[in-house]
Amino acid sequence: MSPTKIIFPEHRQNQKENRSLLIIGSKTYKQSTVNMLLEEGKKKFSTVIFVPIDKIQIISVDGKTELTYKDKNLLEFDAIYPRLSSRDFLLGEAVLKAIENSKAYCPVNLSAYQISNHKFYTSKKLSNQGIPGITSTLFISPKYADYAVDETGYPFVMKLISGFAGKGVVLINSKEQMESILEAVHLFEEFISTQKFIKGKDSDVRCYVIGEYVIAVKRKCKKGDWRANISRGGSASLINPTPEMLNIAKTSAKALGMQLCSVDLMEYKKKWVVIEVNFMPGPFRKFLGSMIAQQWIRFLFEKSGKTN
Amino acid sequence: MDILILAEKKKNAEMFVEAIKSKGHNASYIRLSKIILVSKQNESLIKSKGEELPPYDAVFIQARTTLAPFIEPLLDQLESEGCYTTSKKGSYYVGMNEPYQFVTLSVAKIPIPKSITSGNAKNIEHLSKKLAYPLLAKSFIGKNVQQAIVVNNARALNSYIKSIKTEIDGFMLRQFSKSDIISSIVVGKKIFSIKRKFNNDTTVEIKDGKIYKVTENESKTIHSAAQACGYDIARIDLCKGKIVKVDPIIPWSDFNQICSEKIEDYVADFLIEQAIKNEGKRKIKYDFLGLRKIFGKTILGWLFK
Repeated sequence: MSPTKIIFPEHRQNQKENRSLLIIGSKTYKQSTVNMLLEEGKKKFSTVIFVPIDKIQIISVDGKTELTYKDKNLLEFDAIYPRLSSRDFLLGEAVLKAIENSKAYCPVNLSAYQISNHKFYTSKKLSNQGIPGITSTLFISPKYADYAVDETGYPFVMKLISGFAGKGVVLINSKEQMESILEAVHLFEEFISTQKFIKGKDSDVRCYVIGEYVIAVKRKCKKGDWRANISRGGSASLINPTPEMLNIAKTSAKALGMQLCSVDLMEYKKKWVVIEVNFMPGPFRKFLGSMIAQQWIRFLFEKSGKTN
Repeated sequence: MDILILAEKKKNAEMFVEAIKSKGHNASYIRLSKIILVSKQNESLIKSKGEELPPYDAVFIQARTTLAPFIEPLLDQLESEGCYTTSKKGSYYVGMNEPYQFVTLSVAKIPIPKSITSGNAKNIEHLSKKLAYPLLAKSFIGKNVQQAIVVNNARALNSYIKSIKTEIDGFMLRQFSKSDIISSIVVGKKIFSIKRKFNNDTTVEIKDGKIYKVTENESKTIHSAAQACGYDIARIDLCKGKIVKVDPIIPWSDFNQICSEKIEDYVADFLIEQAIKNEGKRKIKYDFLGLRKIFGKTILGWLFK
């Protein structure tokens, strides 16, 4: 597949209407991503602010909930784009619930945040919708891990459900290896999710879903790393998504309730399967510059003019 | 009717199994830790010790909310199979996260004490000016409460802030009322309540409380709170007409003793009633010509599992 020109709806110039955008960031936000979003946001919106979630105050009184920052009511913005990770759950769920109850346009919802930060739940939800995935299991007690292995076989990938960016992921090749790891995991009262290991090529495809549009990026993993994860090194290039990729990416985003997200795909038995759906994807600045951020802002601007 | 009790321990399930059986219906118990959730290419399954769980008309889950990451996909699967569950999808996430629970109650217009949540400890003193003392101050690590303390003035709050040595994920300040607490069990439309006296700066335990008859207003608030949080069976605590706690875990024996009731009988009746109402909604997989449903309960039943 060769890189092709991706055509998006035209940016209408000189239309900086009186619209406001709030970007809520994770506690562990990346400054370069925030700067890019603010820069792009200011080109379209009259007001753009960024607030890290831990600086927000959630005030509940007499059947009314407000989100405030420096005494400003954050629920009065036209569009709110929450970019939260699994580390923000304590405040993240409360903030998203309050946003759901406001008139602001938000491209993601609370349920999408809960599900997409839970690898097994994501896989289960997509499988129920007939979206191809990989056999996965979820269990509590290491005592019954053998039954989970019956489903996936060896080797399999073990994930802690709170793990993200591939760091809480272990490849397990044998029973002995599994037993020693399970012992440690149980000590931390983690929930264990296993996934059949599929040896793909040395690459996967990240599909950025932006409403009805999809930007596909082929990612090559670092030599010797079985995870095709760009945040751990590797390279990326734009590709022309196939109709199959388009369909899977859009259906997955819709099934989880997200209009802005990314869907990671891998080729397995000549079919594309979903590896992960990201609530807070990075914009791939190193490889794509500000292209993704521009499209996110374009989409948020268009939607902020309509009622939620 | 086929009713399943999923619990962390057998002792939390036995009385319900017996009560349901005594009313002429099938009931069984499965230990939650034996359950494995499986997601395949085009289907999801609930298995126990390698065997797919047979279809049930109703499932009653007795588990701590800290198990939410496991219970939530389980509830989603049971719901997609058309099974009635006492806890609805999303209810365990609500129960596990106190700030989220309070916002859920607040947006549903259910009375709660005035509360402020934030992630930054530096703001605590500034925020406290928006509330009246005494305050209940809670700090969280992850979704777990790290410390909870009642402070009567700004000085006490200040020394509490200084005592926080570890990095916290958030804190909550809630207006605290030095009043009695009404602890209730909701079982569908039925409510069993106990009044817990507030004495010498503490509230007495449930086992030391006294039976209480809730007012019409209190009853309405309790039912609305259970519904907003997604529970048909739950424990709800009220203080001065405001909800302070909603939890699916219930101290059954304490309530039975103080209310002189066998609440498990009401639970059994409720589960049977819901199972009957739900009968037509249950989806049976691979049911060729409906044979599985017809023969499932006969001597040939094993053939159709």
